[in-house]
Amino acid sequence: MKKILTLLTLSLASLCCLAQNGRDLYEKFSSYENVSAVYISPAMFKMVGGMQALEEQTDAEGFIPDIKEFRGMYIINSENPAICDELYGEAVELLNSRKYELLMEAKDDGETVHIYACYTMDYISSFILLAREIDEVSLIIIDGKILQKDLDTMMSGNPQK
Amino acid sequence: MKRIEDIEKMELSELETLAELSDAKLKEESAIEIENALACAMALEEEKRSRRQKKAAFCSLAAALACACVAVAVLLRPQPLEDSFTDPAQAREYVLQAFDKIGTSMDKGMRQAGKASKQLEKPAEIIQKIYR
Repeated sequence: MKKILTLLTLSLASLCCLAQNGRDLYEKFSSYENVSAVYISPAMFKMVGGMQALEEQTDAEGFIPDIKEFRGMYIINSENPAICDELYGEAVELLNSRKYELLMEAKDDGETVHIYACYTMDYISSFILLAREIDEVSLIIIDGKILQKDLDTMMSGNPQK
Repeated sequence: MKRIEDIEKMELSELETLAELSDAKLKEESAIEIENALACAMALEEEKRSRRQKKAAFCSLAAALACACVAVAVLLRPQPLEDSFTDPAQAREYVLQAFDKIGTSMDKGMRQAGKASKQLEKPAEIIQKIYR
């Protein structure tokens, strides 16, 4: 009887340990009004043409990471004050629940931007940008495989473009 | 009169038949000892059967629990998300905007870090002048 109870407790505990992720945030906030939520799937990303096609078209200041095994991109944006607070709080909770490392924090003209990365072995498995202005919160989550050396090159100011 | 070695080799049914045919009666103490031995053997057999039943019940319960866990895992499996766009051109625009924002933010941060490092050069120069 004790063994059964122990097994049952461990099984239920493992279910409770399922951490929140970008997908959960997207699923929650995409149903809200006054929220702009975009999901790009791996299939759609292939149709877009992948990283090479984007690199040829972008005006971005050097940030085109070489993403291998793209698994999804979630973009959530809101200008509703109540939703902004909730979105920001949930994003912070997500960042605290998993092994995200703060890469950069920048404050300028009333906007605070945080950039985080989740490392797995020697590559980045998840990349998050959380930007908060007075009346707007933007959250960009990229799930995929970015090599550490590629990110180091970008952060050192040597853009690929 | 049979020898003990022969009796030990006999089957239970043969022993029963021999006992029925024989006129010899057991001593009371021997009869009690045999009854006790038989009772112990039966109790041991009963305990073994009980353990086997418990083990079977536990295995059945564990199998049922495993099946339930698999069923829950299958039911709770996340459904694939639907793309926000069906037009790749629209999706491309949003992806480029996202990368543009990330790039601008990183560049802003790196510029601020660059300015700060320039500020650090002044104290370093002063210290160098002092120690010359």
